[in-house]
Amino acid sequence: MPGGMLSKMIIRELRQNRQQTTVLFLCIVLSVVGLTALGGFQANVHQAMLRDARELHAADVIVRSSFPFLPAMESKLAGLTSRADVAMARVWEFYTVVRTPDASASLLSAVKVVEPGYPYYGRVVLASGEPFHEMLAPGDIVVEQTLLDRLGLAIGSRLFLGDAEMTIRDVVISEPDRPVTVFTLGPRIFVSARDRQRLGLITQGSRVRYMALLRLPASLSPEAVQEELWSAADPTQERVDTFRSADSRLKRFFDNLLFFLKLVGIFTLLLAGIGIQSVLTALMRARVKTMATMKALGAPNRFVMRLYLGVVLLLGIFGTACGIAAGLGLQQGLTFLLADLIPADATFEVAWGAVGQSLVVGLLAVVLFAARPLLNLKHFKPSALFRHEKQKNRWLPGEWLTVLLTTLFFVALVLWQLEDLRIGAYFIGGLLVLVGVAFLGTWLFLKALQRLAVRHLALRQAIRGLFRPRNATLAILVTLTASLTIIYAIFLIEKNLDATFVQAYPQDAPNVFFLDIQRDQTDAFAQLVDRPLEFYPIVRAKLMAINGQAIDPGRERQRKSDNLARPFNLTYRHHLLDDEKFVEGNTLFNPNGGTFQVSVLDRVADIGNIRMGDRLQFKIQGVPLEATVSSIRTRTRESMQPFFYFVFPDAALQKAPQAIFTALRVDPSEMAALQNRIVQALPNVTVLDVSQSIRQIAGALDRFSQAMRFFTLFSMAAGILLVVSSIIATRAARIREAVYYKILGAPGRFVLYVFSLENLLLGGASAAGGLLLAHLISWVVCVRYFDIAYQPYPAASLAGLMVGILAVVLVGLSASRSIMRRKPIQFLRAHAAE
Amino acid sequence: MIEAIELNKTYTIDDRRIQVLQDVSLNIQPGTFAVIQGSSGSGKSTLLSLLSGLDRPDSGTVRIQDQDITDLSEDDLAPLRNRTFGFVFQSFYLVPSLSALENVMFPAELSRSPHAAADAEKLLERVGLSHRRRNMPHQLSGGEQQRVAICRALINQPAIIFADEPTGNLDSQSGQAILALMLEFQREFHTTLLMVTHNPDIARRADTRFQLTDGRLDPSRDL
Ligand SMILES: Nc1ncnc2c1ncn2[C@@H]1O[C@H](COP(=O)(O)OP(=O)(O)OP(=O)(O)O)[C@@H](O)[C@H]1O
Ligand SMILES: [Mg+2]
Repeated sequence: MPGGMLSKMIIRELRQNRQQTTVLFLCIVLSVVGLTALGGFQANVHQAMLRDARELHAADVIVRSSFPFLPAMESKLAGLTSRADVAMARVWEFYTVVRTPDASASLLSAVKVVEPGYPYYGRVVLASGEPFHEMLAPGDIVVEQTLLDRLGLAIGSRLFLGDAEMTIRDVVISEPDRPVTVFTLGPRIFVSARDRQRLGLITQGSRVRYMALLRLPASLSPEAVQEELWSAADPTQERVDTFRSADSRLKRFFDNLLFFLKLVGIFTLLLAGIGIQSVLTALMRARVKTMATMKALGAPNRFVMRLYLGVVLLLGIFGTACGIAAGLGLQQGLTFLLADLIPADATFEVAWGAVGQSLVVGLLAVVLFAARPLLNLKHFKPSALFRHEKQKNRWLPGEWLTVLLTTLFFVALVLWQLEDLRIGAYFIGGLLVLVGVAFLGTWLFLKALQRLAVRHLALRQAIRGLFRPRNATLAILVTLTASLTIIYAIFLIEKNLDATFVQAYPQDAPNVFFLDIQRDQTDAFAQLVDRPLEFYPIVRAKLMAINGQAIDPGRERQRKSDNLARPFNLTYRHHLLDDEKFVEGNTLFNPNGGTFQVSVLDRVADIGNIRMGDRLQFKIQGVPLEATVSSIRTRTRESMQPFFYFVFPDAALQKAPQAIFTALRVDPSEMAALQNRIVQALPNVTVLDVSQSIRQIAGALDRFSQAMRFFTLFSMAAGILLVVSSIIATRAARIREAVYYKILGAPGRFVLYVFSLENLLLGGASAAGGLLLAHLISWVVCVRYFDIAYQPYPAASLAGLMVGILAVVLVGLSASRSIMRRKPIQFLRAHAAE
Repeated sequence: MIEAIELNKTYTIDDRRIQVLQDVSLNIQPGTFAVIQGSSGSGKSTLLSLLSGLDRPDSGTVRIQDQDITDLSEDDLAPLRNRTFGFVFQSFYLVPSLSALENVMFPAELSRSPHAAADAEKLLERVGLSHRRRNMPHQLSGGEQQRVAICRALINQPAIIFADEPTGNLDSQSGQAILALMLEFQREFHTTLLMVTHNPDIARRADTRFQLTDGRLDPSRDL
């Protein structure tokens, strides 16, 4: 066949079916954009996180404890550091109130006492540019600029830390391991370890974090050292991490974000792929006669195949190129959006690996998803000229093969992206179940519809329209349902992530905490503050056993969420808080149950599988306490309000060593005055002003949620394209029918009515089914994977449902809009006898 | 009844204007059988579509039952198409998602006739398709489809039936049967039948004949 003819026909195919071509092109672009932008963004963040992981922890292995290391640990550390190539630096961190020598101003600060080796990785950058440890001579300190600003001091000023008067020598610009803690309650002060004794602040009972940072030679694997130290650790108070295993809130958030984004990426590709397939199928279905005619005229199968292969390749290459360009642009935008959250040097880099990957994956997806419709061309026999009904095709071996290859491709993609066999398997299994359920539901729905005897003419026509021959209603409905499910699920998951991580910091969140209030000071304190207050007594304790079964700290550490081995803050009271309600039981404590009862928050009950009536054994500063679970509470909203896992009756804890704290929302303008009043009257009370941190957190998380929402939109775009493509697939049939209706004297509004109803049926069924499935999926993902509480958002769901239906109806109608006003003859000629 | 005055129709393809109809005027009496003849491409189908309001002329006027329909909107034309006109085409244009019976019923249902089903059954009975009434269009032969289409054109007892080569897709025997059927109905209901055909045998049986040559009505052949 002459090539000139072929290329002319390719161009004509592209031009004649502009709508389909556009959708096809957009599908390809979208699948590639998603991969490129996400892949690149992931690669950037990941790389930065890993490269920086060592710096983020300033060491290879870190031992942490809230107490001085126990002798077993000390001897292990001594053994290790006896090796010449292992270095160790100790670090102590704690908060303390520092004051100016004239006692005119004071401020809560985050003190970090460091030994000379610190930091082993990364650098503490000082404003002077001088080496860190040279400026940190005994008697000198290095502070953050905010401390100078807030206390009205300058370099060279003196400052009291505990009992010691120190000299401010320099200003710290950045410290490598700061991001791990993300948010601190006060400005940083660095102190040399040689001044440690002089401060007199690190004593038994003060809240100090004890750390040992280890630098290892290349010959020693951090994991091996971690293992060795673990064997000597008392897991109830000592923790050993490598820079790789160390968890941080930031890392957890990033992990969740990246996982979510990967899901979105996969779904975008899948939706776009299905879009490609359905548009191509529709394109060719509309061309049955043309192709049958070409074949009848002796055009070999090859010619027809080449024609559409040409169409696909042309669009594929062009679309992929556009997609990559757009993807790189997006990635840059995204990195910019998150600029101050991502570790500093994770700037925009063209991750060529990711570009290459998306090129390959994108083209592979195009070819694979296009393969079946292309192979299907073989079925178009010249006999189609004479028969109107759909030819029942037996699948060719090649078609089976492409289906198999597409499945394999997809499975490989999922496993590669998720990097976890088990989760990948769940994911694929879940997807299969989703499609299966969508198929079954749709099938039943259609069967029921077909049986329905409808008197109303327009509605009857609409239902009949769903069953017109060659109208793959079942396939379209399943596709619509599945894609709407995915859109809704992503929407719901995003909302839930947002609620958990972002909305937890609302405008009215408490912004100041008062700690260490004595029990006989509560009245005085309440008077000073002069507003309703909730005092929270706290008793530090450890959970030792549940029903006699000891808590296994090793296992607890593996939990993604909170773990039971850490120290807990117990409290006592006899009322529910505003944001609490009962899940089980309807009073906190059983009136006849005696002193030793405990009310448990559902979150910790879920973690420990704790039920009503279970016996919990605690240890409070060495003293055992056993209590029976008398109720289970849940929180009605996420907030910054303090909450307690374990609540006891007064009698159980009143005598235990305790501290009382309270949280308040204070207008920034009143903050200073209030603080001063309290510090003067009750000097032992510690004030934690967290407004700064809250602003930081809120700002940061807000941008994260923007990123999430952005990618969510992206996947939605793919889904909408799919909706458009499935509806375009039925366009030819609709147009023809509309013209027939008009010739038979139906007014335009009747035609509009029929099609609206038809689309309403399609949209309603798929949106309702999709929403139902989406809730199921989101629930599983949130509760099982993200380990966060699930909220169903009924109002947003309803709105989503309406939008989904409206979208389907509008897209559907736009395909038939022009028919209403134009003269029928134009369509009759164009669509005659097809 | 049907009156056309100086109809002109041109198509423009790539800046080239093709005059398909030029100053065509004609007049057809009610209850008669009229035929438009002419060679392929002479503009017969175009003329029919102008007379029946399926298309709009560039200039000129079409009057149906003394009503000017030339500039009527699609929605104003709808009741006319539903009750006054019946259409029968060469390719049958049955609604593919409706059974034979439902296709016939459809125009009656649109005009809310309470006995649509009964009327449709009667008509199908007359054309010998009772046993096929549940079949979908693609399950019918060409001749059967055309008989269904004729029933559908007749169900609202229209004043005019427009037929564009209704036998063109059929073998001569089926064609004869279809034609006989149409003429039978035409006489029975005193319908005006305007038919485009190549077939001289059919043309001979018409009351009026129009000959189109290159978009002009040939007056010499106008009886
Ligand atoms: N949409 C259009 N655009 C351009 N030219 C057209 C269009 N429709 C019809 N024509 C031209 O108008 C002329 C008349 O067409 P028409 O279909 O009326 O012919 P006809 O007499 O019915 O022929 P036949 O007997 O073959 O059906 C033809 O030359 C055709 O090429
Ligand atoms: Mg014609």
